[in-house]
Amino acid sequence: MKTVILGLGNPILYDDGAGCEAAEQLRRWVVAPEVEIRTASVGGLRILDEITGFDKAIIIDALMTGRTEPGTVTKMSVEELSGDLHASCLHDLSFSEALKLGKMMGMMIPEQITIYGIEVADPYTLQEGCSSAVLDGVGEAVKRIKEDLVEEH
Amino acid sequence: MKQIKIDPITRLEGHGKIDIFLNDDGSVANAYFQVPELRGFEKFCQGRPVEELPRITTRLCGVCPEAHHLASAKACDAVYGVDIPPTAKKLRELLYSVFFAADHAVHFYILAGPDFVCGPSAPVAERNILGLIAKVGIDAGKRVIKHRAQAQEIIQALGGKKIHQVSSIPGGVTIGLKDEDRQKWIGYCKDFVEFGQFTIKVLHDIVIANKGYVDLILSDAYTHKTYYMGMVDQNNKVNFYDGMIRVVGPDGKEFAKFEAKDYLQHIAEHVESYSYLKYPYLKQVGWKGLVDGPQSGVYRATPLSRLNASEGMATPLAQAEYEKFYETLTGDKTGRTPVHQTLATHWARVIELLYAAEHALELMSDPSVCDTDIRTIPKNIPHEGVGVVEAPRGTLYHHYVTDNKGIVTDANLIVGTTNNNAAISMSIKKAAQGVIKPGVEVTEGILNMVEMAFRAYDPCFGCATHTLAGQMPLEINLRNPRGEIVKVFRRS
Repeated sequence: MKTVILGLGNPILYDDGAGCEAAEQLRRWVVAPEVEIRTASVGGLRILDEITGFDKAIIIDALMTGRTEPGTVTKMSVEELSGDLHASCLHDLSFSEALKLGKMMGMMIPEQITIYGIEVADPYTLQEGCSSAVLDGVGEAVKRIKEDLVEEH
Repeated sequence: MKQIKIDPITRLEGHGKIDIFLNDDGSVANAYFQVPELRGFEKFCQGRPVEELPRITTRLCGVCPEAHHLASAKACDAVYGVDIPPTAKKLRELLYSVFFAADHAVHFYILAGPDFVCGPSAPVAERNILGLIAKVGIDAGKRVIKHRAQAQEIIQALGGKKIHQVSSIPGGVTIGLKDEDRQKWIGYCKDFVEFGQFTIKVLHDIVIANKGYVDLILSDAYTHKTYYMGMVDQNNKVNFYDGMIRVVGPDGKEFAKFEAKDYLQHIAEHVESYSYLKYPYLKQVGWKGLVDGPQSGVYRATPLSRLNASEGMATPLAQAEYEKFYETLTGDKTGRTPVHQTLATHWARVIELLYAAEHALELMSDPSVCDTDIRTIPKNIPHEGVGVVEAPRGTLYHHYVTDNKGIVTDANLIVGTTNNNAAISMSIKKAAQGVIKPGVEVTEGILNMVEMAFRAYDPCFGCATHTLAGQMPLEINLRNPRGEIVKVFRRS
């Protein structure tokens, strides 16, 4: 099964880079040729470009609900994804709309899409790295994704 | 009306917020919008080699990394006092034109189109790209997707990376163009021009042919007479990559024309306690508050502004449409009488899309774009430089100061949307006053008509980041004269 692990987020926006950091940590561990690791700082349609052509996608992103402690990891499906993720720009499609559009246009959208959200505290300050609580969350997400991959392969 | 203190947006909310204050009779007294702002850019840049900034600043925006990459590279050229070779300039401009055509297409079909094709008060579930495709046919959707894919292939090759470009460096570019690629991409650029013409036709068939929409565009609720800013070439034609910044007044007369490096002589920034985002204004007119007219320094920098600030388009098909635009909306096809209607920005954007496509084809058809002289090695001692490009949503300024080793000591940006902060606030208030009436229930459809004023600017506030949810969640609070929230609408 061709799988893409996509870390989303902005590595120069402090906690916002959590998804990219998790993907980079997994890059050091994953050697399976059918698994590709990618990172990107984009939204909507451009996310679609990164996952098209794969059977399965695991997306890791910063999450900001304010309802859980920073570092809390939440696994969810596309259906469970709401507008809760933090702000971006008006100029794009939502991810679920992009997926619907891709399917309508006959693009090869992964059958399985899993999202790992890492609760963050500050995704607005221009700074590299993440806060320590969020880094703990990154470690937790990496551990759970490894377990998923091991189970599958 | 009682004065009400508005708390700045809390970080946890992390999204755009519009507060509409109603009078006792239910009419609109005032409206404000607030957005989160990124912090610490200047500090982040300090101590870094300036040549790193064209790569770093692409991360500032998940929508227009190309604009930041090139404004930053131009600022670096200026810091080192280096003129880049003509071929390098053509290659940067080629990448940028292709990007512009793709970016404007996304806005028209995904963001603006649904309001007009599906109707401004159609149910939210239908008022989106999927609803649009259902109405205009799947072929339109396929053309949008194909156009994007072709544009991305060129951007990836010329920019070195698909998303966060790396090819522009102080003194030129690192990646040249092979003739075999050029031959192939001439075909793509011809497709872009055809796609631009197709989009113009869609706009005419669906929007301009509908009297109701034309009345809406021309209505006072969506009109502000402001100054307009845009970059122009030596013939005062619209240019996205290089030229002088031209400002015209509400009467269409040239008010200022200046080089990028002099921007601080012309633009100042006003601060309001309720907003993190500053309000740029024309220094020589002065800040008079959120009001329009010749006495107010509020200016706009949008596709509409670029057309108003210019004397035409540099390519034939776009010029023909430019004349049609002004003839229809002002009766003067020369464009010397500005169009003040905010919703006409959508039409202006499509004219720019066509110009970008035509210009990309011109550049791609020029065999000299494959020359190998693409970099001038900087030899001067670095000091200070300003780089400006027209980003899709407005004029983008990058300004860096370094020590004599090229280490950044100071940095300042004015991004596209920030230019329009005051005008966006004014447009929201006026649209709200125009569509919210005493005794009539405020529905989602009515609020969408308020949002349309905001959306015409194609705002991009975080100027920052991605997000899986994609759209910026927007919250609209209706408040009574005591400031109490009486109704909340959320779009996410």
